[in-house]
Amino acid sequence: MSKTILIVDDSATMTMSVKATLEMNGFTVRTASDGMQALAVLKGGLKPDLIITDINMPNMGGLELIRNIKAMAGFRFTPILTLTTESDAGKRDEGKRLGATGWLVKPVSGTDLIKVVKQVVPGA
Amino acid sequence: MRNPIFSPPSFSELGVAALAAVSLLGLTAYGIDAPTLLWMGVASVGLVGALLLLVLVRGVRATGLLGKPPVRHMPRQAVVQEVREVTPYLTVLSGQLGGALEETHHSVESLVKVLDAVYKSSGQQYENIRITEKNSSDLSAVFKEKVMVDEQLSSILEMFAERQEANARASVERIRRLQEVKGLASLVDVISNVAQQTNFLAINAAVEAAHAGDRGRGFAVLAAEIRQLSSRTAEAAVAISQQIAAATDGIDQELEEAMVLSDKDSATGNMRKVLADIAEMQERFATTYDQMQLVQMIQAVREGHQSIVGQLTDASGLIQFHDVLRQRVEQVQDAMQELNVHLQTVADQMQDKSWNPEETLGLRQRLDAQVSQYVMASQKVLHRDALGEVAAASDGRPAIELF
Repeated sequence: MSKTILIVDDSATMTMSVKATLEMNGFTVRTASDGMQALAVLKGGLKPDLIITDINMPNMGGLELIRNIKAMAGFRFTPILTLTTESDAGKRDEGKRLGATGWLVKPVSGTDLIKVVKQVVPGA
Repeated sequence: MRNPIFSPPSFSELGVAALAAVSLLGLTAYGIDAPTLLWMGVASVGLVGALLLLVLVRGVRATGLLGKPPVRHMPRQAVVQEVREVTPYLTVLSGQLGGALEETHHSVESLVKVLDAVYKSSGQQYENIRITEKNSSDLSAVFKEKVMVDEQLSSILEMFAERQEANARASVERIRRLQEVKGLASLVDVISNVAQQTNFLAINAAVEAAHAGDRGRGFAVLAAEIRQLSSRTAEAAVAISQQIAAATDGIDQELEEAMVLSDKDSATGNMRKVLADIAEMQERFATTYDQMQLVQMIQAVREGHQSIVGQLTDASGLIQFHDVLRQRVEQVQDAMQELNVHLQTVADQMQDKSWNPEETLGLRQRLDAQVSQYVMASQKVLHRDALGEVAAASDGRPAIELF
């Protein structure tokens, strides 16, 4: 059974790109355009095997999203990768402290992305 | 529309003004005494002369022979007006950038659709081949089963053919032996001859017995018995001959037919030919199946599909450039907006006599503040490079970092 990944990004082209990359490699993909929408999707019952989130988004950014997800029951061990243009070291450290699994700076090649995803998703 | 920038009066304007002045002097000449009229004439001549001198000087200045033309300053109000025009100017530029982003967005959408279509097409091709592989495998299994059945059938037919041939050979042998019975006919003839000669001897014996009178009476009885015996022998010979004829009637025809049946080219021969055809067909199928190399071909298609997926994966990853580009363009749009705000503030201050330069944020300060708006390291590097400054050292952290 294919693994499910939730992509959170306010850029439509970004979600299209990452969605296509993952689906071509056998993953099932759901998308959300910001942190608020992502939380709503998770509270709606989705249990993804991985969450890939942008950092700088309207309504709710990636760091706040990570903080909220880690506080939710049943998501403590869900791996979360950030995929962002943000290069600020302080924000990167904050992401690590909040429980992010890894920090990826855009643009990331499709091959590298799949390699990292397979590395952090058990059984992928 | 006339340029608001200040410019001095033209030659024609000066000429009209001079002629008007001379005409005015002429009109006021009525009723004026001679000395006054003299002074007015002198003034007119002087005015016309001054005008000619001015035209001459400007003409020479225009040639550049007397050095640079005098510096002219734009009036404050004209500057303010120009600065006000910056707003629509920057709005148009920002709109153009936004339009370019929008167009690339649509292109990226189309590109993703094309990539997806290629992926699905490749996947469908692979699926078709996979189905062909399965069908081929099923067909092979059916054929192997058929071959097995054919081999069993061939064995049975082979056995049957061998038995048929053995039967045919036995029939031929049996008929040949039966044909030997025909040879008994000659013996029957011998018996008939013996019976006939015996009959003649019995007749002669009877005649001789009659000549012997009473002494030959016993011999006459014996002769009669012998004659009767020869007669029965002759009848038996005829009967035997008839039985032999009946038994061997058509035996030659049967032998000929049996010989035909035992011939390898006849029925069993044909059967053997069918068996040989089946064997050849099996051999040909096995060879063809091997030559088709379906397994290798399917493996090649599978690898080709995986290669296509790898390339499409990289291609779809490259589309992330659009998000990077969008963020950079939006940052430039924000900076243009800030530049406009700054210029309008300057324009406002040019009209405000109570302006205090200490309270105004300078453009350089605004430019420096841009650095805090950057999210990408490349933006910061480019900013420093453009200003000829030394860029801050990289924090050395990789683009992909797993915690």
